[in-house]
Amino acid sequence: MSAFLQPQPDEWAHLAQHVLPRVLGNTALLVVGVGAGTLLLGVGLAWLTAVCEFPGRRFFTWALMLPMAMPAYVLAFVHVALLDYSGPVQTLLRTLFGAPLWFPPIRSTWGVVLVMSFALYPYVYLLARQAFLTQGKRLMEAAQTLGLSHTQAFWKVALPMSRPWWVAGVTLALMETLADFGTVSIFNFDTFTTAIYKAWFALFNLPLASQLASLLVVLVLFLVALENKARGQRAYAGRLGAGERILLKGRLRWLALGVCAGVLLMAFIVPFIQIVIWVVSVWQTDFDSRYLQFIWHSVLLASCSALVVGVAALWLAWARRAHADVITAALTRIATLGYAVPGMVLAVGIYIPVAWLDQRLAALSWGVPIMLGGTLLVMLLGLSSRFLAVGFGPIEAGFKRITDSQEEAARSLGLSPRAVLWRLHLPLLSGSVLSAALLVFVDVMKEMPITLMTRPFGWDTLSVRIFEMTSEGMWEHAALPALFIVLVGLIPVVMLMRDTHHE
Amino acid sequence: MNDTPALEIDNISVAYGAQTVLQGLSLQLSPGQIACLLGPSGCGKTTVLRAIAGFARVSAGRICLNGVTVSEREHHTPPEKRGVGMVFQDYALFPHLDVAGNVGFGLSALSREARRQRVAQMLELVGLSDFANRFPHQLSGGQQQRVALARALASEPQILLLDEPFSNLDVTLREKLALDVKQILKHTHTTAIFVTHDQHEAFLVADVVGVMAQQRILQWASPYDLYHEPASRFIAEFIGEGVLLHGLRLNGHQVQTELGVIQTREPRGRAEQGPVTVLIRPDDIQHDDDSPLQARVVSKAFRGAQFLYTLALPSGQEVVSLVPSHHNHSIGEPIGIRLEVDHLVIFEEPGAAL
Repeated sequence: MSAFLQPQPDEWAHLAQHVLPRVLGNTALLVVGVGAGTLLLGVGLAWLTAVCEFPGRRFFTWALMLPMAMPAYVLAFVHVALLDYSGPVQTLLRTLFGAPLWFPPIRSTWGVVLVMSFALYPYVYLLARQAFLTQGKRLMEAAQTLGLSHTQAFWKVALPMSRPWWVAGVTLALMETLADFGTVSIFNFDTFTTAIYKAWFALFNLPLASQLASLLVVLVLFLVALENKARGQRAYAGRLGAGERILLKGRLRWLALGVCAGVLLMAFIVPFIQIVIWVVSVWQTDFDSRYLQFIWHSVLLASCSALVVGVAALWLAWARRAHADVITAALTRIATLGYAVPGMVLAVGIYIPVAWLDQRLAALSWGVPIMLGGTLLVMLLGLSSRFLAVGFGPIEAGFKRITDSQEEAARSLGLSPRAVLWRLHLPLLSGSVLSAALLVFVDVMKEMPITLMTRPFGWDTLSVRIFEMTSEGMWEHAALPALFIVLVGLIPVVMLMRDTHHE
Repeated sequence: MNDTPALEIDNISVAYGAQTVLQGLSLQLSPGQIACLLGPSGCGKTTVLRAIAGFARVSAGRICLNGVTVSEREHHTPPEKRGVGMVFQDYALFPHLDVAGNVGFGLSALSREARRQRVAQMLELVGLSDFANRFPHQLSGGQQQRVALARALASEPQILLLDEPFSNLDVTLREKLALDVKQILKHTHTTAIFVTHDQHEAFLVADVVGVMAQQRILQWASPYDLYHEPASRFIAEFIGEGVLLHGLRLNGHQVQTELGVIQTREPRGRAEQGPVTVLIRPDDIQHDDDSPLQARVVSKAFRGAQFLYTLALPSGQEVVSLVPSHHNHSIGEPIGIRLEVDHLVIFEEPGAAL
């Protein structure tokens, strides 16, 4: 943000003339498109699986969460490879029909919007589903007794009632959209993150990069405010309504089945199969000691981040519980804001003070260079601050399940506050800390921009490898790291599915 | 005999921020005594327990446990150093520990063997010896409560505090468990204070009851005295059933009411003539078919062995009467009543200076 304090007229002129209009236009298109896409897919699918009954409903209830395991950039390169002019689909169409047919170009605004909607709709799906499950059916029944048809009740009751949930879901999806770097760079679709990357690595213009980053932060903070507002409005009416499901009949039931199957195919099954096919074809040549090193780097980075975040989040949640004052609450709020800040922005924001520190240290140490930039430490700092909120959530939820009276009981049985932490909090929180660490682990594995921009030279991870291969258009070589990331990403999805099953 | 009170609360005040929760509250407990703080919700009774346990600081006054000051404005002994046991309303059992683990939680100073013995002893005391390896969620509410009690008693606290200990239990279980708890406390000679809003529980368990309202203790007396000799109009209305009837004091021994003249042996209050209010309990009014005094049945509540009749006197004033349930009268019917008052409780009419 300090970039605003050092205005650079030349850069601004260049920015305003050549970069900003396209970047802003593209970002606007993306936000509107992905917002509408995730809303339509998320709410529609949640409605079908939470309230209606049709063949395969139980299967789709959990299967529709599977796309969460697939990072948007993986989905992106598979779809580009499949649907591009030289891809198998168009080639097949050409051989079938002989003449070159018109086919919607995948490398277009529509392509990005479609792929990102497929990748990000689960945010909306999960939240909207929760809304429909917790209060939808009872209210629907009430609406029906007042003479509304199913369709009317959906538009007049279910949709407005669940607004805080799906607004929160869509804003989360949009935060991811603004933060995304991998997907848009595969599509060559210029947004803030790719512009920042180019300003930094192609133009070596750090001030320009930080100015773009500041603008992006303003956009994101607007979304954060929106999400906060929606979160405040969510009231949990408690238990699940045990109402009857709407039984879809005739053509409708097959339509529902078709829609769910289509989304699942496009968003998970087809890409997954394609990745596996590629992996089989390149396995022999690609899987060598270098790959083991990519995996080792990814796992090392993810484990260290998980450890750092686990400890920091535990400490933060504990401090917040022990000191229920406004300042501590505000500090935790700020500390967990990192999740909203795009990784690209964080990378820039961390690089600047570190570079400054490097200069100072070099001056202090009589010319002997002490380089902090481009070390694991800096990378870890960036990743941990980005994913602190991911770890903080489950741990705070775990703390909330420990009642005040349990703490007081421990105190009155002779335990000092610190002993309470060791003998009561930690044993009770072990599950929460573990799932927090796991979530962070998986998110760091998938993470691209921070790792890409702050890694030591030549220190490649799986996601960096994907970036490098996809920027060369070598799709099948990106498949092996992608498969690994998707498989690891399945772990939290499976955990989520188990939770859903308990409902 | 040791004269030091087990608990001495001297004129304490407690405030949360700007809000005063307790003001100038005092009480004393002898070793082994069971006291109850009884009052409507929000009267500050739980805060008294929290102040004794050390979870709330006093802004004035002093709390002593067996002669040692634990709370003062300038000094606050932390909860873990007070030796105060507490049974919480939600029992606050630790879900990650089994029953034995919960009961032995505060015994880390003991050797493993001594701890095992103590836990076994406590579980036997509360009748849960067979449940040592169960986890809290596998127990019924009553069993959980007894685990909480055993846990609090295991380290032989100087005083035991119980916060609404029976409120989460089935009504049918409450009486039995309350008596069980009383028996255990008496058996271990434990000094205890519990708070409740249910006077039935208070009467069942407590040696002495403090009625609380508006941050203060209004009366500190045995259940019997509280019922029969309430110190104020508020307590007369809060404790037990009954009505306040207008009357005219004739002299120190006699009060004229619509039901006739009520006599007492000992003079109460002032002797000069004047308007008063008389507390009439349901057991003060006997059903008597031969009595010339007639009252009309306004409503009735069937209580098994008895009916509680609400009766209207000729003037329109209402009284309540407990009548054996074979006297089944219908609403509107006049029945004969007779006054039989052992304890005359009179209050000056509002407006008349005491």
